[in-house]
Amino acid sequence: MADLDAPESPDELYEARGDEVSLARPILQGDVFDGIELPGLGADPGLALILSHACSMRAGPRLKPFVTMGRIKQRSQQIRLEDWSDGYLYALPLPELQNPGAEDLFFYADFNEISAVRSESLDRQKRVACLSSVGLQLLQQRQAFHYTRVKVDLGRIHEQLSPVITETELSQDWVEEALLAQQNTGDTLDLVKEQEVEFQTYLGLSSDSPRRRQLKEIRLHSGLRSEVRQEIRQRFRQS
Amino acid sequence: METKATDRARSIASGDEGTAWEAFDPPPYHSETASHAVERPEVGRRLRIRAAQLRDHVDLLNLEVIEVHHDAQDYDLEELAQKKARRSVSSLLADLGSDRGMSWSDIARLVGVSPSAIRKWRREGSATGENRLALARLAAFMDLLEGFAIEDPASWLEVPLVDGYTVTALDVYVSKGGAVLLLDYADTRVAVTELLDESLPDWRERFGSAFEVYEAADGHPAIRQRSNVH
Repeated sequence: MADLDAPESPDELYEARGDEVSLARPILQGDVFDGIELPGLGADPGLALILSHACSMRAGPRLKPFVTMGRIKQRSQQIRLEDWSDGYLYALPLPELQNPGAEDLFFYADFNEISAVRSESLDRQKRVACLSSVGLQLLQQRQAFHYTRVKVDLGRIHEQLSPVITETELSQDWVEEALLAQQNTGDTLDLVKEQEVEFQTYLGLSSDSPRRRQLKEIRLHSGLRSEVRQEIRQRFRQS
Repeated sequence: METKATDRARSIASGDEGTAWEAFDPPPYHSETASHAVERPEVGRRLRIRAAQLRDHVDLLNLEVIEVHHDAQDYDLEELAQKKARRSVSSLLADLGSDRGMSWSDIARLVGVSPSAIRKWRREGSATGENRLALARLAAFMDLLEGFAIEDPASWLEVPLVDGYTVTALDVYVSKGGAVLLLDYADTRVAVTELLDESLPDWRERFGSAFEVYEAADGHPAIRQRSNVH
Protein backbone atom coordinates (compact mmCIF):
# COMPACT_ATOMS: atom_id res chain seq x y z
CA MET A 1 0.00 0.00 0.00
CA ALA A 2 1.40 3.39 -0.99
CA ASP A 3 -0.88 5.19 1.47
CA LEU A 4 -0.15 8.63 0.05
CA ASP A 5 -2.00 11.70 1.33
CA ALA A 6 -4.80 13.72 -0.25
CA PRO A 7 -6.08 17.26 0.19
CA GLU A 8 -9.23 17.73 2.25
CA SER A 9 -10.84 19.48 -0.71
CA PRO A 10 -9.78 20.68 -4.19
CA ASP A 11 -9.57 24.23 -2.80
CA GLU A 12 -6.84 23.20 -0.37
CA LEU A 13 -4.61 22.21 -3.28
CA TYR A 14 -4.32 25.64 -4.87
CA GLU A 15 -2.90 28.98 -3.84
CA ALA A 16 -4.66 30.55 -6.80
CA ARG A 17 -6.40 29.63 -10.06
CA GLY A 18 -7.42 31.56 -13.16
CA ASP A 19 -7.85 35.27 -12.48
CA GLU A 20 -6.69 34.85 -8.90
CA VAL A 21 -3.11 34.10 -10.02
CA SER A 22 -0.91 37.07 -9.26
CA LEU A 23 1.81 38.26 -11.61
CA ALA A 24 3.72 39.14 -8.45
CA ARG A 25 4.13 35.53 -7.32
CA PRO A 26 7.57 34.14 -8.15
CA ILE A 27 7.62 31.21 -10.56
CA LEU A 28 7.72 28.06 -8.46
CA GLN A 29 7.42 24.30 -8.51
CA GLY A 30 3.79 23.28 -9.05
CA ASP A 31 2.93 26.30 -11.19
CA VAL A 32 0.72 25.42 -14.18
CA PHE A 33 1.28 27.24 -17.47
CA ASP A 34 -0.70 27.14 -20.66
CA GLY A 35 0.80 27.13 -24.15
CA ILE A 36 3.86 25.09 -23.16
CA GLU A 37 5.61 23.04 -25.78
CA LEU A 38 7.35 20.08 -24.18
CA PRO A 39 10.37 19.20 -26.35
CA GLY A 40 10.54 15.59 -27.46
CA LEU A 41 6.98 14.67 -26.52
CA GLY A 42 5.47 15.48 -29.90
CA ALA A 43 2.35 17.08 -28.52
CA ASP A 44 0.80 20.45 -29.33
CA PRO A 45 1.49 23.28 -26.89
CA GLY A 46 -0.75 22.91 -23.87
CA LEU A 47 -0.90 22.81 -20.11
CA ALA A 48 2.19 21.78 -18.16
CA LEU A 49 3.27 21.83 -14.51
CA ILE A 50 6.73 22.68 -13.16
CA LEU A 51 8.30 19.64 -11.51
CA SER A 52 11.78 21.06 -10.75
CA HIS A 53 12.33 21.20 -7.02
CA ALA A 54 11.50 24.61 -5.52
CA CYS A 55 14.98 24.86 -3.97
CA SER A 56 16.91 23.87 -7.08
CA MET A 57 15.26 25.87 -9.85
CA ARG A 58 17.03 29.17 -9.16
CA ALA A 59 20.57 30.45 -9.35
CA GLY A 60 20.53 33.48 -7.08
CA PRO A 61 17.49 35.62 -7.83
CA ARG A 62 17.01 34.20 -11.36
CA LEU A 63 15.59 30.96 -12.71
CA LYS A 64 18.08 28.45 -14.08
CA PRO A 65 18.04 28.23 -17.91
CA PHE A 66 15.84 25.13 -17.90
CA VAL A 67 13.05 23.82 -15.69
CA THR A 68 11.57 20.33 -15.79
CA MET A 69 7.88 20.25 -16.60
CA GLY A 70 5.27 17.50 -16.74
CA ARG A 71 2.46 17.38 -19.22
CA ILE A 72 -1.06 17.93 -17.94
CA LYS A 73 -3.55 15.52 -19.38
CA GLN A 74 -7.29 15.12 -19.23
CA ARG A 75 -9.37 12.10 -18.50
CA SER A 76 -13.07 11.49 -18.73
CA GLN A 77 -13.43 10.05 -15.25
CA GLN A 78 -13.02 11.94 -12.04
CA ILE A 79 -10.13 11.06 -9.72
CA ARG A 80 -11.83 11.05 -6.33
CA LEU A 81 -9.92 12.29 -3.28
CA GLU A 82 -10.11 8.77 -1.77
CA ASP A 83 -8.30 7.45 -4.87
CA TRP A 84 -5.18 9.52 -4.12
CA SER A 85 -3.95 7.10 -1.48
CA ASP A 86 -3.15 4.15 -3.74
CA GLY A 87 -4.10 5.19 -7.25
CA TYR A 88 -2.54 7.33 -9.96
CA LEU A 89 0.89 7.01 -8.36
CA TYR A 90 2.47 8.35 -11.58
CA ALA A 91 0.62 11.65 -11.36
CA LEU A 92 -0.60 14.63 -9.40
CA PRO A 93 -4.37 14.86 -9.83
CA LEU A 94 -5.51 18.45 -10.39
CA PRO A 95 -9.21 18.51 -9.49
CA GLU A 96 -11.16 21.62 -10.54
CA LEU A 97 -8.02 23.07 -12.11
CA GLN A 98 -9.73 25.36 -14.57
CA ASN A 99 -13.18 25.71 -13.21
CA PRO A 100 -13.56 25.72 -9.42
CA GLY A 101 -16.65 23.78 -8.41
CA ALA A 102 -17.07 22.20 -11.85
CA GLU A 103 -16.99 18.46 -12.29
CA ASP A 104 -16.71 18.05 -16.02
CA LEU A 105 -12.98 18.18 -16.77
CA PHE A 106 -10.49 16.06 -14.90
CA PHE A 107 -6.83 17.00 -15.12
CA TYR A 108 -3.63 15.44 -13.82
CA ALA A 109 0.09 16.15 -14.23
CA ASP A 110 1.79 13.05 -15.63
CA PHE A 111 5.26 12.30 -14.19
CA ASN A 112 6.01 9.97 -17.11
CA GLU A 113 5.69 12.68 -19.76
CA ILE A 114 8.28 15.21 -18.73
CA SER A 115 10.69 17.46 -20.54
CA ALA A 116 13.13 20.34 -20.00
CA VAL A 117 11.66 23.70 -20.94
CA ARG A 118 13.54 26.97 -21.38
CA SER A 119 12.64 29.07 -18.37
CA GLU A 120 12.63 32.24 -20.48
CA SER A 121 9.66 30.77 -22.37
CA LEU A 122 7.52 30.76 -19.22
CA ASP A 123 5.03 33.57 -19.66
CA ARG A 124 3.56 34.72 -16.32
CA GLN A 125 0.48 35.91 -18.12
CA LYS A 126 -0.16 32.32 -19.18
CA ARG A 127 0.17 30.93 -15.66
CA VAL A 128 -3.21 29.42 -14.86
CA ALA A 129 -2.66 28.01 -11.38
CA CYS A 130 -0.24 27.94 -8.44
CA LEU A 131 -0.21 25.24 -5.80
CA SER A 132 -0.67 26.09 -2.13
CA SER A 133 1.84 25.00 0.50
CA VAL A 134 -0.23 21.83 1.03
CA GLY A 135 -0.47 21.31 -2.73
CA LEU A 136 3.29 21.56 -3.05
CA GLN A 137 3.77 19.05 -0.22
CA LEU A 138 1.41 16.61 -1.94
CA LEU A 139 3.21 17.08 -5.27
CA GLN A 140 6.61 16.37 -3.68
CA GLN A 141 5.26 13.33 -1.83
CA ARG A 142 3.91 11.86 -5.07
CA GLN A 143 7.05 12.74 -7.05
CA ALA A 144 9.31 11.15 -4.43
CA PHE A 145 7.16 8.03 -4.39
CA HIS A 146 7.03 7.79 -8.17
CA TYR A 147 10.78 8.12 -8.63
CA THR A 148 12.05 6.28 -5.54
CA ARG A 149 9.17 4.20 -4.11
CA VAL A 150 9.73 5.93 -0.77
CA LYS A 151 6.83 7.57 1.04
CA VAL A 152 7.86 10.68 2.93
CA ASP A 153 5.41 12.18 5.42
CA LEU A 154 3.93 15.59 4.64
CA GLY A 155 5.15 17.06 7.93
CA ARG A 156 8.81 16.62 7.00
CA ILE A 157 8.20 17.81 3.45
CA HIS A 158 6.56 20.91 4.92
CA GLU A 159 9.57 21.49 7.20
CA GLN A 160 11.98 21.10 4.28
CA LEU A 161 9.88 23.41 2.10
CA SER A 162 9.29 26.07 4.75
CA PRO A 163 12.20 28.37 3.84
CA VAL A 164 11.16 28.54 0.18
CA ILE A 165 7.46 28.91 1.03
CA THR A 166 8.19 31.81 3.38
CA GLU A 167 10.52 33.42 0.84
CA THR A 168 7.93 33.05 -1.93
CA GLU A 169 5.15 34.55 0.19
CA LEU A 170 7.29 37.53 1.19
CA SER A 171 8.50 38.08 -2.35
CA GLN A 172 4.89 38.17 -3.53
CA ASP A 173 3.96 40.63 -0.75
CA TRP A 174 6.90 42.85 -1.77
CA VAL A 175 6.18 42.85 -5.48
CA GLU A 176 2.41 43.28 -5.05
CA GLU A 177 2.93 46.39 -2.94
CA ALA A 178 5.50 47.69 -5.43
CA LEU A 179 2.97 47.22 -8.24
CA LEU A 180 0.27 49.01 -6.25
CA ALA A 181 2.60 51.89 -5.43
CA GLN A 182 3.76 52.39 -9.00
CA GLN A 183 0.55 51.71 -10.90
CA ASN A 184 0.48 52.67 -14.59
CA THR A 185 4.07 53.78 -14.69
CA GLY A 186 5.81 51.51 -17.14
CA ASP A 187 5.84 47.85 -18.06
CA THR A 188 4.34 45.64 -15.34
CA LEU A 189 6.43 42.56 -16.09
CA ASP A 190 9.64 44.59 -16.09
CA LEU A 191 8.67 46.03 -12.72
CA VAL A 192 7.93 42.54 -11.38
CA LYS A 193 11.36 41.28 -12.43
CA GLU A 194 13.11 44.38 -11.12
CA GLN A 195 11.39 44.18 -7.72
CA GLU A 196 12.04 40.45 -7.41
CA VAL A 197 15.75 41.18 -7.76
CA GLU A 198 15.37 44.07 -5.29
CA PHE A 199 13.72 41.73 -2.78
CA GLN A 200 16.44 39.11 -3.21
CA THR A 201 19.06 41.79 -2.69
CA TYR A 202 17.29 42.89 0.49
CA LEU A 203 17.27 39.28 1.76
CA GLY A 204 20.96 39.02 0.94
CA LEU A 205 22.63 37.49 -2.08
CA SER A 206 24.94 35.35 0.05
CA SER A 207 23.40 32.23 1.61
CA ASP A 208 25.10 33.30 4.81
CA SER A 209 23.43 36.70 5.10
CA PRO A 210 21.55 37.25 8.41
CA ARG A 211 18.09 37.22 6.77
CA ARG A 212 18.85 34.08 4.78
CA ARG A 213 20.06 32.43 7.97
CA GLN A 214 16.71 33.38 9.54
CA LEU A 215 14.95 31.65 6.64
CA LYS A 216 16.72 28.39 7.49
CA GLU A 217 15.03 28.11 10.88
CA ILE A 218 11.25 27.89 11.13
CA ARG A 219 11.22 29.41 14.62
CA LEU A 220 12.75 32.60 13.19
CA HIS A 221 10.32 32.98 10.28
CA SER A 222 7.76 35.06 12.18
CA GLY A 223 10.41 37.65 13.06
CA LEU A 224 11.58 37.78 9.46
CA ARG A 225 8.01 38.16 8.17
CA SER A 226 7.40 41.08 10.52
CA GLU A 227 10.65 42.74 9.53
CA VAL A 228 10.06 42.33 5.78
CA ARG A 229 6.46 43.55 6.00
CA GLN A 230 7.56 46.63 7.94
CA GLU A 231 10.15 47.27 5.24
CA ILE A 232 7.48 46.87 2.55
CA ARG A 233 5.28 49.37 4.36
CA GLN A 234 8.09 51.89 4.61
CA ARG A 235 9.20 51.49 0.99
CA PHE A 236 5.92 51.42 -0.84
CA ARG A 237 3.10 52.80 1.27
CA GLN A 238 4.71 56.10 2.05
CA SER A 239 5.84 56.79 -1.50
CA MET B 1 2.93 11.61 66.84
CA GLU B 2 -0.48 12.57 65.58
CA THR B 3 -0.41 14.80 62.50
CA LYS B 4 -3.04 16.76 60.63
CA ALA B 5 -2.97 14.05 57.96
CA THR B 6 -3.77 11.40 60.57
CA ASP B 7 -6.68 13.52 61.81
CA ARG B 8 -7.90 13.88 58.27
CA ALA B 9 -7.65 10.12 57.66
CA ARG B 10 -9.72 9.52 60.77
CA SER B 11 -12.40 11.85 59.50
CA ILE B 12 -12.41 10.12 56.15
CA ALA B 13 -12.76 6.68 57.70
CA SER B 14 -15.62 7.86 59.90
CA GLY B 15 -17.60 8.56 56.75
CA ASP B 16 -18.62 11.86 58.19
CA GLU B 17 -16.08 14.44 59.10
CA GLY B 18 -16.74 15.80 62.54
CA THR B 19 -18.35 12.63 63.99
CA ALA B 20 -16.59 10.77 66.75
CA TRP B 21 -13.60 8.89 65.43
CA GLU B 22 -13.28 6.99 68.67
CA ALA B 23 -15.83 4.40 67.62
CA PHE B 24 -13.47 3.27 64.86
CA ASP B 25 -10.19 4.11 66.50
CA PRO B 26 -7.72 1.63 65.06
CA PRO B 27 -5.34 -0.13 67.34
CA PRO B 28 -1.61 0.55 67.05
CA TYR B 29 -0.40 -0.94 63.80
CA HIS B 30 2.30 -3.06 65.54
CA SER B 31 -0.01 -4.64 68.09
CA GLU B 32 0.22 -8.42 68.15
CA THR B 33 -2.72 -9.25 70.36
CA ALA B 34 -5.19 -11.64 68.87
CA SER B 35 -8.18 -9.30 69.27
CA HIS B 36 -6.39 -6.48 67.48
CA ALA B 37 -5.33 -8.83 64.70
CA VAL B 38 -9.02 -9.40 64.00
CA GLU B 39 -10.11 -5.75 64.26
CA ARG B 40 -7.27 -4.15 62.27
CA PRO B 41 -8.22 -5.42 58.81
CA GLU B 42 -11.82 -4.22 59.29
CA VAL B 43 -10.72 -0.69 60.11
CA GLY B 44 -8.17 -0.73 57.32
CA ARG B 45 -10.82 -1.86 54.85
CA ARG B 46 -13.17 0.93 55.88
CA LEU B 47 -10.37 3.44 55.67
CA ARG B 48 -9.40 2.22 52.24
CA ILE B 49 -12.96 2.32 50.90
CA ARG B 50 -13.65 5.75 52.33
CA ALA B 51 -10.36 7.12 50.99
CA ALA B 52 -11.15 5.65 47.58
CA GLN B 53 -14.59 7.25 47.63
CA LEU B 54 -13.11 10.58 48.55
CA ARG B 55 -10.48 10.22 45.83
CA ASP B 56 -13.20 9.50 43.26
CA HIS B 57 -15.08 12.52 44.53
CA VAL B 58 -12.00 14.72 44.17
CA ASP B 59 -11.31 13.34 40.68
CA LEU B 60 -14.87 14.12 39.62
CA LEU B 61 -14.67 17.52 41.20
CA ASN B 62 -11.37 18.12 39.40
CA LEU B 63 -12.97 17.21 36.07
CA GLU B 64 -15.81 19.59 36.78
CA VAL B 65 -13.39 22.36 37.71
CA ILE B 66 -11.40 21.76 34.51
CA GLU B 67 -14.63 22.01 32.54
CA VAL B 68 -15.58 25.24 34.31
CA HIS B 69 -12.08 26.62 33.67
CA HIS B 70 -12.31 25.68 29.98
CA ASP B 71 -15.72 27.31 29.72
CA ALA B 72 -14.34 30.45 31.35
CA GLN B 73 -11.35 30.49 28.96
CA ASP B 74 -13.68 30.01 26.03
CA TYR B 75 -15.90 32.84 27.26
CA ASP B 76 -12.89 35.11 27.74
CA LEU B 77 -11.65 34.27 24.22
CA GLU B 78 -15.07 34.90 22.71
CA GLU B 79 -15.50 38.19 24.56
CA LEU B 80 -12.11 39.43 23.37
CA ALA B 81 -12.89 38.20 19.85
CA GLN B 82 -16.19 40.11 19.80
CA LYS B 83 -14.33 43.23 20.81
CA LYS B 84 -11.69 42.74 18.12
CA ALA B 85 -14.34 41.99 15.48
CA ARG B 86 -15.23 45.69 15.57
CA ARG B 87 -11.94 46.38 13.80
CA SER B 88 -11.64 46.24 10.03
CA VAL B 89 -10.53 43.09 8.23
CA SER B 90 -7.43 44.93 6.95
CA SER B 91 -6.48 45.94 10.46
CA LEU B 92 -6.93 42.38 11.79
CA LEU B 93 -4.82 40.99 8.94
CA ALA B 94 -2.14 43.62 9.54
CA ASP B 95 -2.10 42.65 13.21
CA LEU B 96 -1.68 38.94 12.43
CA GLY B 97 0.53 39.20 9.34
CA SER B 98 2.71 42.26 9.83
CA ASP B 99 2.86 42.68 13.60
CA ARG B 100 2.74 39.02 14.66
CA GLY B 101 4.56 37.70 11.57
CA MET B 102 2.14 34.90 10.75
CA SER B 103 2.16 33.46 7.25
CA TRP B 104 -0.91 34.10 5.12
CA SER B 105 -1.26 30.38 4.51
CA ASP B 106 -1.30 29.64 8.27
CA ILE B 107 -3.89 32.36 8.83
CA ALA B 108 -5.98 30.83 6.04
CA ARG B 109 -5.76 27.39 7.60
CA LEU B 110 -6.62 28.56 11.12
CA VAL B 111 -9.55 30.61 9.89
CA GLY B 112 -10.74 27.80 7.62
CA VAL B 113 -10.53 29.48 4.22
CA SER B 114 -8.30 29.16 1.14
CA PRO B 115 -5.02 31.14 0.86
CA SER B 116 -6.47 33.07 -2.08
CA ALA B 117 -9.38 34.19 0.11
CA ILE B 118 -6.93 35.83 2.50
CA ARG B 119 -5.19 37.65 -0.37
CA LYS B 120 -8.60 38.79 -1.60
CA TRP B 121 -9.52 40.12 1.85
CA ARG B 122 -6.22 42.00 1.95
CA ARG B 123 -6.92 43.53 -1.44
CA GLU B 124 -10.58 44.35 -0.91
CA GLY B 125 -10.60 44.75 2.87
CA SER B 126 -13.82 42.82 3.31
CA ALA B 127 -14.96 39.39 4.47
CA THR B 128 -18.22 37.84 5.62
CA GLY B 129 -19.25 38.43 9.24
CA GLU B 130 -18.47 34.82 10.10
CA ASN B 131 -14.98 35.00 8.60
CA ARG B 132 -14.28 38.35 10.22
CA LEU B 133 -15.19 36.82 13.60
CA ALA B 134 -12.91 33.84 12.92
CA LEU B 135 -10.07 36.28 12.18
CA ALA B 136 -10.88 38.24 15.34
CA ARG B 137 -10.89 35.01 17.36
CA LEU B 138 -7.43 34.15 16.06
CA ALA B 139 -6.17 37.65 16.90
CA ALA B 140 -7.70 37.34 20.40
CA PHE B 141 -6.10 33.92 20.85
CA MET B 142 -2.68 35.37 20.00
CA ASP B 143 -3.20 38.13 22.60
CA LEU B 144 -4.11 35.55 25.25
CA LEU B 145 -1.01 33.51 24.44
CA GLU B 146 1.11 36.57 25.07
CA GLY B 147 -0.57 36.84 28.45
CA PHE B 148 0.89 33.43 29.28
CA ALA B 149 4.41 34.72 28.61
CA ILE B 150 4.63 33.28 25.11
CA GLU B 151 6.93 35.92 23.68
CA ASP B 152 6.43 35.14 19.98
CA PRO B 153 3.05 33.40 19.55
CA ALA B 154 3.41 33.01 15.76
CA SER B 155 6.69 31.14 16.14
CA TRP B 156 5.29 29.11 19.06
CA LEU B 157 2.48 27.90 16.78
CA GLU B 158 4.79 26.88 13.93
CA VAL B 159 7.46 24.84 15.68
CA PRO B 160 6.94 21.07 16.18
CA LEU B 161 5.82 20.26 19.73
CA VAL B 162 7.53 16.90 20.24
CA ASP B 163 10.89 15.67 18.99
CA GLY B 164 10.46 13.00 16.31
CA TYR B 165 6.92 14.13 15.46
CA THR B 166 5.84 16.85 13.07
CA VAL B 167 2.74 17.92 15.00
CA THR B 168 2.52 21.64 15.78
CA ALA B 169 0.20 23.88 17.78
CA LEU B 170 -1.37 24.84 14.43
CA ASP B 171 -2.64 21.26 14.13
CA VAL B 172 -4.07 21.45 17.65
CA TYR B 173 -5.78 24.82 17.01
CA VAL B 174 -7.83 23.42 14.14
CA SER B 175 -8.99 20.42 16.17
CA LYS B 176 -12.28 20.62 18.12
CA GLY B 177 -11.80 22.79 21.22
CA GLY B 178 -8.12 23.08 20.31
CA ALA B 179 -7.74 26.79 21.10
CA VAL B 180 -8.82 26.37 24.72
CA LEU B 181 -6.63 23.29 25.18
CA LEU B 182 -3.66 25.24 23.82
CA LEU B 183 -4.31 28.00 26.36
CA ASP B 184 -4.13 25.33 29.08
CA TYR B 185 -0.83 24.14 27.66
CA ALA B 186 0.52 27.67 27.35
CA ASP B 187 -0.45 28.18 31.01
CA THR B 188 1.62 25.03 31.80
CA ARG B 189 -1.42 23.27 33.23
CA VAL B 190 -1.02 20.16 31.06
CA ALA B 191 1.94 18.27 29.64
CA VAL B 192 2.40 18.21 25.88
CA THR B 193 1.38 14.54 25.61
CA GLU B 194 -1.83 15.27 27.57
CA LEU B 195 -2.57 18.15 25.22
CA LEU B 196 -2.08 15.96 22.16
CA ASP B 197 -3.91 12.91 23.55
CA GLU B 198 -6.89 15.12 24.25
CA SER B 199 -6.96 17.12 21.01
CA LEU B 200 -5.51 14.70 18.44
CA PRO B 201 -5.88 11.17 19.83
CA ASP B 202 -4.13 9.61 16.79
CA TRP B 203 -1.19 12.06 16.84
CA ARG B 204 1.47 9.37 17.30
CA GLU B 205 0.43 7.53 14.13
CA ARG B 206 -0.49 10.64 12.18
CA PHE B 207 2.55 12.78 12.91
CA GLY B 208 5.28 10.25 13.70
CA SER B 209 8.12 10.56 11.21
CA ALA B 210 10.89 8.21 10.18
CA PHE B 211 12.65 11.18 8.59
CA GLU B 212 14.45 14.32 9.61
CA VAL B 213 15.39 17.53 7.85
CA TYR B 214 19.03 18.57 7.62
CA GLU B 215 21.04 21.14 5.72
CA ALA B 216 22.63 19.59 2.63
CA ALA B 217 26.03 20.58 1.24
CA ASP B 218 24.41 23.07 -1.18
CA GLY B 219 22.97 24.98 1.77
CA HIS B 220 19.38 23.91 1.09
CA PRO B 221 17.28 21.77 3.43
CA ALA B 222 17.03 18.08 2.58
CA ILE B 223 15.34 15.01 4.05
CA ARG B 224 16.98 11.82 5.31
CA GLN B 225 15.97 8.83 7.39
CA ARG B 226 16.25 9.28 11.15
CA SER B 227 18.80 7.09 12.87
CA ASN B 228 16.67 6.57 16.01
CA VAL B 229 13.12 5.95 14.89
CA HIS B 230 10.57 5.32 17.63
